[in-house]
Amino acid sequence: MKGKANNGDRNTAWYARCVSLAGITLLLVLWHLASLVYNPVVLPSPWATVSVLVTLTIEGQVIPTALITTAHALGGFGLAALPGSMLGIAAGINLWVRWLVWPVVTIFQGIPPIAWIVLALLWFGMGGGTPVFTVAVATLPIVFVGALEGTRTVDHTLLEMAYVFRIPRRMLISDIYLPHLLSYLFPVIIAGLGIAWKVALMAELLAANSGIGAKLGMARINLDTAAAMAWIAVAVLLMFTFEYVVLHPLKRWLEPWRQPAPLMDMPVDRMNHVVRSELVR
Amino acid sequence: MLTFSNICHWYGATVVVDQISFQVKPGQVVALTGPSGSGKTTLLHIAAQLITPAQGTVENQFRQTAYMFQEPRLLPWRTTIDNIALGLKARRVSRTVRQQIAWNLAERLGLGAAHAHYPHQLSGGMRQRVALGRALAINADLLLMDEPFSALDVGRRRELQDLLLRLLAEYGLAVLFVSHDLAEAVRLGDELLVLSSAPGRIVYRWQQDCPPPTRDDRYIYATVAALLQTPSVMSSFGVHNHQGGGA
Repeated sequence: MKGKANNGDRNTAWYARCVSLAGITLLLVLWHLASLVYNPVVLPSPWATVSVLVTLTIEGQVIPTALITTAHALGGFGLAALPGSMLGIAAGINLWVRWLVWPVVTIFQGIPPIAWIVLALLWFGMGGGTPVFTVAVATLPIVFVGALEGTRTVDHTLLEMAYVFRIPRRMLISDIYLPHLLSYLFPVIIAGLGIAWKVALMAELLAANSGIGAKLGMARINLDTAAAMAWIAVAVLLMFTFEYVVLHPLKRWLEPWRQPAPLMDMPVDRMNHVVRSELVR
Repeated sequence: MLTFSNICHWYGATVVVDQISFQVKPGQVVALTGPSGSGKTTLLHIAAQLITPAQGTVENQFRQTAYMFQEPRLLPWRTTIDNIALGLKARRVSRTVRQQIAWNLAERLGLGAAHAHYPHQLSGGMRQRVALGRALAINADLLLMDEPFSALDVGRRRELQDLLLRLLAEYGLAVLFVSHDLAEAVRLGDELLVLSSAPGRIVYRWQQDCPPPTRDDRYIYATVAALLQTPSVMSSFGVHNHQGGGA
């Protein structure tokens, strides 16, 4: 019976993949059809884009450029992550810090990244400093709020349990606070990195002479739409690669307890439990 | 020995428990029973030092006190074995030793196949067994329990009660437990304390002579029925004798 259920799951996953692939294929077909109608300067065909991408790769442009953008995005996010989470934890623990810092962070959150780019351009000029700074200030509020919420929502019933089992302070942090905080920070990190890539690209386009954004700017000046499409493809591939090659394995390693796994026996019992927790809520 | 002497406690102007005195002797199982709002959980929290009573004294001479909550309260990010071993880790027992103890307990509790599972992968009954394992692992001589089986269905509850009775006999634990279920109190308890509803006062004490293994269903039903005929117990639970009066 268990085997049957697993088979069913596997079939569903397989269907899901086929349908997703069909969606992407449909997009490519529509793109191709549209490229037949319009001038290549307006919309080059998927094949033209791929051939430009291959040429750029062979010329050795793609990987160094992608690495520069990665450095901008991760560098900026790295600069935001540490102070952002520290400040968030402090604000979660201490009311005074929360009252002091939260309004400031809210103001920062309200400033659009494009405005930061203008300021950064005035402060740092054209170069790598501008994208790194912009990414840092754009992602800091996200990390701050995640850490704050994570710290505030530690399950007090677990803390009570820890008290009656005489769990020392050091273990309270390593066994209760940190795993809980991590479970809050992980989705925040994924969302923050998504924003980091996009902001890095934008800052590079407007205020830097290297990275995928700068290449996009060059393609625009040269009216080279195929190259622009190729660089967009590089950006998308870069984000997906990072998410599936780095973030997802990292999450599986750090949070094995979040992975879905077959439930063990006693469905009625479990149902009671679910119903009960619904009622409590 | 756990001794409550003239315990009173109130939240704001509401008196929750009033003039409570009783003792739990080594190896004895004491059931605190009564309707909702009789301050049962408050008394248990006082015994666990989660609350300091407003008046009166509690003296706990037991070496080690363990607690089982109404919910399992397991760490979601720890496996069955690590959850059972939590109290041992807090007491700086080495990793190999505490894993060994947790393994043995998991086997005894029928959790052998689930030793590497995380709580969300377990059923409610299994989670509560892990919580029982965690309480037993620290080698306590007093166990405090707050209706730990109330969320389970009849069959599962019965199973865990039997398991608990076997383990209690083996480990020689003293237990103070709270239950609003009189049948459960009679099944597990050597002494029954019935509390009245708000404020909680002990309105009835009963020491049973019948040892746990001889308490069969017939005995339990008969005892519960007899208890519910007792005027103080009746009024505490708000039970009205429909046959009496008019007939």
